[in-house]
Amino acid sequence: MRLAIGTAHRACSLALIDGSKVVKAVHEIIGRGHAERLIPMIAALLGETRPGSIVVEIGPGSFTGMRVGIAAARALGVAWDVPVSGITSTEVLAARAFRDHADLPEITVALDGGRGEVFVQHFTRDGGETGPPAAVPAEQAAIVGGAVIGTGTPMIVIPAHVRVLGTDMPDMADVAALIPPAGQDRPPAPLYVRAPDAKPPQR
Amino acid sequence: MANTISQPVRPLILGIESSCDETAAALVCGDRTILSERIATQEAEHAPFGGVVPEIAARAHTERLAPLVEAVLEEAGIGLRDVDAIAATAGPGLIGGVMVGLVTGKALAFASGKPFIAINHLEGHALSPRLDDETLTFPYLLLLVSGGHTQLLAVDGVGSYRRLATTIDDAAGEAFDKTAKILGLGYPGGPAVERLAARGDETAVALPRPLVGTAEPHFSFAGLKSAVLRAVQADPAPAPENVAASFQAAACDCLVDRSRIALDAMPEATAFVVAGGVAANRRVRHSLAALAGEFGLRLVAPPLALCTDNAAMIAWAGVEHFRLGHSDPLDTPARARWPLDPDAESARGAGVKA
Ligand SMILES: Nc1ncnc2c1ncn2[C@@H]1O[C@H](COP(=O)(O)OP(=O)(O)OP(=O)(O)O)[C@@H](O)[C@H]1O
Repeated sequence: MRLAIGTAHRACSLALIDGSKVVKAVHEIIGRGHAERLIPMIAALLGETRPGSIVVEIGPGSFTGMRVGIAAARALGVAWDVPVSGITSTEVLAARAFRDHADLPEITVALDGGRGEVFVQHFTRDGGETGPPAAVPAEQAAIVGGAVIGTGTPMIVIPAHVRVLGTDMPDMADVAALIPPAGQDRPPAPLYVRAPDAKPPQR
Repeated sequence: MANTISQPVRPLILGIESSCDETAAALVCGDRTILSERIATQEAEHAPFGGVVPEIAARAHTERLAPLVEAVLEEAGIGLRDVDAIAATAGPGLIGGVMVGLVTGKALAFASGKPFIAINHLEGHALSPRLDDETLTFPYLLLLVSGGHTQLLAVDGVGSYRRLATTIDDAAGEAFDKTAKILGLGYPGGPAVERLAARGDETAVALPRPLVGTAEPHFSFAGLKSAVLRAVQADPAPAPENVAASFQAAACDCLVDRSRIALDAMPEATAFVVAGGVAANRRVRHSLAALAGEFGLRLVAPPLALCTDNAAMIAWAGVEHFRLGHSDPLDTPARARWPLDPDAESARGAGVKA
């Protein structure tokens, strides 16, 4: 059984997955506060179950949120001595789009990246991601193909021919829809996309 | 026992620290043995910016902490099932980093079914002298002098702290760091200032001693730092080693004068204890030892490795709390600010640090 942990966006999203079946899941929009909520929510979801592996959402998303999920996942991995891998926020949404729309050949994922930027990445059904995710100003975001999904969608001007397949944030239950090679064996390390703001603190 | 590794004296606590620019983990036993300890400093990452950059710190903690925890367990040859509790810093400090250590600690505690203990980083410093010195008993006066804090605390017992004084502007370590910057010595500045000062004349440059001689109990270092800046701009400029020595002497005079007020106010103190990075400074230690002597007390100054940020002190604070039956829930929040003495009134301009 796999435990999927998603804290890179405003949800605290958890799923317990057996093969391609979701055994149990919880997806709560909590805004901030992942550092407080995450461990009790994992405890409630798991009960006595001990997962055999852990997959954690590595972004792109909120830096703080990503770090909370990754710190938790890696610590659980140490404690239970189970493998921990990473999954990107964009591929989780792409997996949902491809699962829900059998005719869909390609999808652009657009996530609200804060500061008026969106994180965009393009996927094809057959090849997975066609390049790395990028942070771009919302007005410059380009949609490749005929469909878009994600929280960044309302921030960008959508051409008439493009279908909007949802404005939701990633939900870890959709990890069950991911088929290899997507989402396999990424290290559980944050995908920051943006360089750190390197300003010394005001002491 | 035939084994080379004897049974650890209970409780055995795993401590985690990530509130500033050191990522650290340690295993400490009830008999004060540090079974294993790892610390990864981020000095090199922050040095180009002349100070700790919160986002860079948070990134580094995320990358390093889990392997450090694994390493201390491995080095001690034990598993999480063998520890009695997990203690992690929950604040005060840079919130992004605090969260990484706190969530790691809570996840380890949950996964191993062990109690979780949230530690106030300042309490770690306050109790660390007892890790080094088993004869140190409550109550004692603690001077906590680091890059982020300058406080005098009456340590009456575990969890029982009265703040007698704090800085109304800069911390003492910050004054050392800024002086180093003014003198072009790089970061972190404290050790560099001390080295340069060793060759200087501490009476050569006239510098102020803010608040010295006043009845108010608090510290102030901002004026001293500004005076250093003015002094180096003089024509002809004074020799850098004389500036460093004169600054260090002025800072010591401030620490001594304010500590004297606190010692007068705490006749029940059994010892005068100094902790925090600035306590590494020999001139500071000498001045404070002389002051303690005036009061018939000894100066307790833990070894340097325990004075600066470390995880052994967090584990030790965990030992002290565990013995009193304390533990904390898994929804314990990270706190950027967390005063040790909740009743302390904010000194003017202060409180910003804790
Ligand atoms: N030999 C020395 N002389 C003077 N100051 C020193 C010396 N060595 C270190 N320091 C100062 O100590 C500070 C670092 O101490 P420490 O690591 O305890 O604290 P911090 O992480 O800055 O703050 P805190 O523990 O309050 O969060 C720095 O300001 C440094 O310049």
